[in-house]
Amino acid sequence: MSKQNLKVAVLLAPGTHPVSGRPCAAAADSAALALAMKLVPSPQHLLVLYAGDADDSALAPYLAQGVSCVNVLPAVAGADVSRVLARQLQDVDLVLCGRRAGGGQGSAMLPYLLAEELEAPLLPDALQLKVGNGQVEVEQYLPKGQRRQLAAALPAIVSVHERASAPLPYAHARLQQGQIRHLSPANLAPGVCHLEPANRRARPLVAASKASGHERMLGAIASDGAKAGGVVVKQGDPVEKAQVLLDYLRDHHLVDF
Amino acid sequence: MFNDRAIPRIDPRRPYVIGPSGLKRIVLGEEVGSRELQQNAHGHSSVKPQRSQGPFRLRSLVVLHTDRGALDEAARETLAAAAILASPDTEVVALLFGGNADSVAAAGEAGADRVLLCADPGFAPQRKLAVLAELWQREAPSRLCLPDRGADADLGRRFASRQGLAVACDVIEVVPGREVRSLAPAGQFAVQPLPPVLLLARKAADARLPFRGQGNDGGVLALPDVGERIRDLGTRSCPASQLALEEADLIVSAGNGVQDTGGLRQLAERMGAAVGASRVAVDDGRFAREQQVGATGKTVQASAYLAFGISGAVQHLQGIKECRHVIAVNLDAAAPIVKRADLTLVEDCQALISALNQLLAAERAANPVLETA
Ligand SMILES: Cc1cc2nc3c(=O)[nH]c(=O)nc-3n(C[C@H](O)[C@H](O)[C@H](O)COP(=O)(O)OP(=O)(O)OC[C@H]3O[C@@H](n4cnc5c(N)ncnc54)[C@H](O)[C@@H]3O)c2cc1C
Ligand SMILES: Nc1ncnc2c1ncn2[C@@H]1O[C@H](COP(=O)(O)O)[C@@H](O)[C@H]1O
Repeated sequence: MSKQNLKVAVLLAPGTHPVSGRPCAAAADSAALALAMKLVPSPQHLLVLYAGDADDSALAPYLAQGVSCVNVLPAVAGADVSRVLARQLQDVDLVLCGRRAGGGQGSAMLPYLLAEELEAPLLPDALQLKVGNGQVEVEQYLPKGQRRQLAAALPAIVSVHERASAPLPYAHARLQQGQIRHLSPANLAPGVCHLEPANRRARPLVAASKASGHERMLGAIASDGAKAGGVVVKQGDPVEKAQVLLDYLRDHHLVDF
Repeated sequence: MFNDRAIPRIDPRRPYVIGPSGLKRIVLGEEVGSRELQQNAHGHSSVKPQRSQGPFRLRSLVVLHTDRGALDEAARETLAAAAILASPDTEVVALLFGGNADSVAAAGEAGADRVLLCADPGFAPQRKLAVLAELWQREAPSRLCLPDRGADADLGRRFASRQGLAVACDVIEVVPGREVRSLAPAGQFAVQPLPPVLLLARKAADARLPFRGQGNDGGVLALPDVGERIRDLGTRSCPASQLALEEADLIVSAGNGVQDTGGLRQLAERMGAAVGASRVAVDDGRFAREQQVGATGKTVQASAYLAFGISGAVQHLQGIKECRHVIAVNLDAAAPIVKRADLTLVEDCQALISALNQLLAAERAANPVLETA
């Protein structure tokens, strides 16, 4: 499939700065944007979608990062975001979205719901992306320095990891040129959650204990003592100790040599 | 008025017994109570009682991917959360992907009443979903808990969207029977009613339970033969030198006791480990600022952390809280790091590093096959 007739859509949700709460570009969404720009000859070929009722100024950071036009599906109470977006994405080959919506507000559920809605495979946490021969190949981020290669036939959905690309440069001129287009109203369901100020720490679930005060005190001492129970090796020359270290690593399957 | 009667004194070390309401001193002349009794009480308290004896009417399901058969802290916390939320007639059923006999016992200790095992073929969402859907149908659990990280987070989200179940993600606080909270930007909580599927963030529950689960072996589930739409082309690990410290699985870290930085870097290369450093070593200019581990540096999550010549100041230990195995090399057997370390070698760093380098070089020379592997 050539670059020209591959239809790529990018889903953008406005980000919120984690501390100040002001609108900003979300890292994962701009990484998705950066990967998408490499797949098409020019930004005009991208279908950029947002469903919701956020202010235009909240989407402006993406314009400054190179989007030529954001299509906004306005929100009226009554339907899911994923269903509204899915209707617009029926004939798209590749959908790119962020792993999690900006500032940690998102639940990272949208890609999964959309995949069910479109019955398309979802390749999660992409770092790199290759498209060719009607299939998409993705390098998936795994913790601890592991990377996995995944491939699937198009059409597919790819959620992009924050680390996939360095932040796109911000250009005010592009912000001025870009446009935000409001499409005809769709019906959106109100979210199930509400916000409240977090003026205390979250309380972890703690099991009710029937132990007496004295037992609890003993327990506290015992658990401290157990932590100090590492093995200390003083005997032997450096070579023997080095062997002890290697044996420990191998016994616990921590190294593969 | 002057009183010349002796003041009655109470011997602070007189014998005592330990009863349900704590320590009870023994009155003179009474025969019960001795120091041996206290010793027995210590031994007894190490075996925890079972949370519930059954019979069970309801079920609560926990799904976990094990880390090479071991349960990590996030997994234990999720099991603990399910056990704390469970009523006495609710059985906590755990499904472990990639678990073994040891993980069955560990999961029982962490709160599971029945443990099912299933092989972990890596990336296989459709097959795992099929196993889970079958289990969901058969056991009809009232709740599903998973840790919100890695493969569990992916599977939980796929399952919830496939089954159309309400789900709460990144939950940091559960109010039993009512609602859950997660963090939202700008210092806010997002609050939603308690859904059937819970994806828990770290520290949503305290993993230190006063009870344990029954830990029964529920057998092994076979992965059904369902077609995958996504092909897994294999996993590789990045060379450690290209990795950010936060991502590395094996870290060799140097403190003020390491003079021979060349030898340490060579060792890290031979072991495929990332290089970290303490603040003193960084301030000295021996390592780069982005290699600093600790309160003002990076927080690392390595499975193994090798601390060479690091005293283990609290600010440094903060950065390695999440490390599973800590190995310390220090001349001082009383350094604070020894308390944190699982293995301590009391030895000069320079000598040990060169000994390790030589051992590894000798092994490579003896097994040239390993070099290409
Ligand atoms: C606000 C604040 C923030 C801080 N943040 C950090 C931080 O983020 N990260 C951090 O690391 N520190 C931090 N520190 C500094 C911290 O308190 C310690 O000073 C520092 O960690 C000590 O580093 P060290 O263990 O390498 O050095 P030292 O304390 O000098 O310890 C050296 C150790 O090496 C051993 N040793 C010496 N020679 C040898 C040898 N030849 N062979 C074997 N062992 C040997 C010694 O016995 C000793 O235990 C912070 C301090 C403050 C006040
Ligand atoms: N209302 C929305 N409109 C368009 N895209 C969205 C919307 N919400 C989320 N997304 C995309 O889906 C990703 C995951 O979002 P979330 O599930 O809300 O965390 C985000 O990074 C966006 O790319």
